[in-house]
Amino acid sequence: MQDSGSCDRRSIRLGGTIILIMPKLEDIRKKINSIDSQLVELFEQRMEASREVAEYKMERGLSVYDPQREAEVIKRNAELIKSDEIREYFMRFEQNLMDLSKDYQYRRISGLKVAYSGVEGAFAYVAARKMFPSAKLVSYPDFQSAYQSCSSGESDVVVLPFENSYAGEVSAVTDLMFSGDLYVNQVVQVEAVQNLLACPDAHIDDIKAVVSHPQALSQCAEYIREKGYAVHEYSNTALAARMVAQKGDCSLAAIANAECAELYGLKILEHRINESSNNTTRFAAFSKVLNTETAKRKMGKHFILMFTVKNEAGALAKTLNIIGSHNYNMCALRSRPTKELLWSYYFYIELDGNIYTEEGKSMLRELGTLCEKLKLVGSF
Amino acid sequence: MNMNFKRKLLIPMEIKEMYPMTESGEEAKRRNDEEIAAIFTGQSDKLLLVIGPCSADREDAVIDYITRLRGLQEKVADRIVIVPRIYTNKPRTTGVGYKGMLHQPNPLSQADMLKGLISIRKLHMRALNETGFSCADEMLYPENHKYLSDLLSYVAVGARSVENQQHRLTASGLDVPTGMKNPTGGDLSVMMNAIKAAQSPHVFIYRNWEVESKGNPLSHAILRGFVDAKGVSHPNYHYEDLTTLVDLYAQSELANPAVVVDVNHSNSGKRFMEQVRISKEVLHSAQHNADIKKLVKGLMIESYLVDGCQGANEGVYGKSITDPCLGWEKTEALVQDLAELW
Repeated sequence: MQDSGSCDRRSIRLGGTIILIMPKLEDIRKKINSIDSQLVELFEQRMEASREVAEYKMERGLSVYDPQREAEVIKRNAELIKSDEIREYFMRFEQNLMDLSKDYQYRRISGLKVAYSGVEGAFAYVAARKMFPSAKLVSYPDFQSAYQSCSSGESDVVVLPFENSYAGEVSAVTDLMFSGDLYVNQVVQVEAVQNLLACPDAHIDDIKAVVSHPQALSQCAEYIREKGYAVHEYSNTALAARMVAQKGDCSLAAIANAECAELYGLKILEHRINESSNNTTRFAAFSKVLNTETAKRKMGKHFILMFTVKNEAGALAKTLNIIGSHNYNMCALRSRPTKELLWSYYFYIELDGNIYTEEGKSMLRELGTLCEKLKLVGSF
Repeated sequence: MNMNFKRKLLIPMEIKEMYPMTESGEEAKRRNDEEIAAIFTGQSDKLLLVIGPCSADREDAVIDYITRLRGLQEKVADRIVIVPRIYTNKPRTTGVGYKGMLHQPNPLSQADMLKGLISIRKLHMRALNETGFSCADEMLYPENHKYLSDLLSYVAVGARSVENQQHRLTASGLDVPTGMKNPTGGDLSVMMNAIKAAQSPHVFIYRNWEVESKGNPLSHAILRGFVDAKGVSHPNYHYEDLTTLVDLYAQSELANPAVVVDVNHSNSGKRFMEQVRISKEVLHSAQHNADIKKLVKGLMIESYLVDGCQGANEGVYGKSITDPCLGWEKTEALVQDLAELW
């Protein structure tokens, strides 16, 4: 007989034949208990580590949910499982574990104060919600004051739009990026989908007039013309939705995003009434710490540089040549007045790739001496 | 003119600002310069070895090689002063082929001169900061010397350049020992004239400036063998060749008579293994004749991590992609032998 520690099955020799006897249920339970007690310890450690990740992310304005990393981790760990039969269960276990970890992180992060500009339901709000589902969102009347709130420590993160696929840069935010002290560690795109919203009792045939921000109205001009609606301009899409809800007029509809329907108790009479389907705005999450940790993904990494050059012939070309010599692809180059000095400009460059590499470090070093002022605004 | 002026490159000052000398680097360079100059002025009787790959094709392997040289230098420090070769620009007989890191920071990619200028400074800088060696390079393009002027401790003017006025004038303005090779045809008077020009003061145009040089008393001869009219290689490292050079120096009024013997090229007929025998033979000649002993200051050896050479696209780490070189084990043994013999 073997010792009980490694004993799975007991055998008894009876007249030359070996008879296997299944271990007692009690023994198996003991074994499970002992495994569980190890799991308890490891689970605690894992949640502790998860909390540390949450703190790191809070400081840098990063999202809790990183689907790509999650899939990678599950795949990598699943490969370590030897039994094909068990692997499937392990993947479910790992997914559960991830979900619990996220829940915990969301709870930790719920104390995070995220500033945005505009009112509840505006696209900035949608973007902030998308990045920080559990955080406390705080509205500010304009970009400047929202940005300032984070600089001064009143909020932890500020979410601002900086580029629109139609209108181009959001100049005021670009200026804040250049002059301010915050960094961008995360960018999300929010598509401007406009919907027809009305009171819960309203019917689509009752609608006579629509109200919204002029830009939203123009995006839906064709739809409005077709329906023959009267048009009322309003300062803000979300406020227009609120006004419709407050008035309770069943002949009036607001044009706004779907979030506003939920927020103000309206119903969506018609989805996606805007013509172009690619009106997208990019929102950046600004925070005080630059995230220098390189994500594993190789593709889809970007960074933003802002700089001024000496006022002499070929000065900009020199900096662009340096960028080219390090093989970084530039996806945008813009110039804006510095406002300090008459007719002097700063440059905004967005590039593809990872800046935290040997090439990237060399490039920053070389640009550092060529440029009068150079700032790595963000990496995401 | 059919040149397309593609872009204005950074000036030496700009690249030096990007990669500036460190205080410890400056100190190491000053120490190296003094030690090397002492050999040429006769204050030191150590043997100078200008040694390293034919071309510095990749940073990692070159730094690896030079790091090993540092260990070797410590072992033979009482007899030998090593100056690593970091040759970043290569003259090509027909202008075709790999032209060095300056032109092609990546040997398999297209020429990129901006990247090249930065890469060669970074490489020399790394060598100095990581190993304490301020190195040797060929002055193929005199205008480019200024990108490395604070990093080099030895400069060679090649066999094809030695007759060129701008090379001679620029050499006259350098503060480090500058070796003038005999031309490929072997005419020693061309080399002696080059040394004379380099040792004299001049006024000339350099990088769009009118400049005045003081003359370089540390300019000296390099014997590298020659090729005759029929294309046959002939050595000029033998005892008789060296006594001829002793005589030529005696007839001249040149300061610091000196020769560094290049033991590869036409002296070995590019049979890299012969470098071992030739090096020892030069030292043997020196033992036999006090004048030769006084004249011979050093040897120039082509050596890398792996024996021989390969095509640029073969990718063997530490194997020359230009002329064949002596591998590391043979190099180590040779340098230790030379320390015994000198």
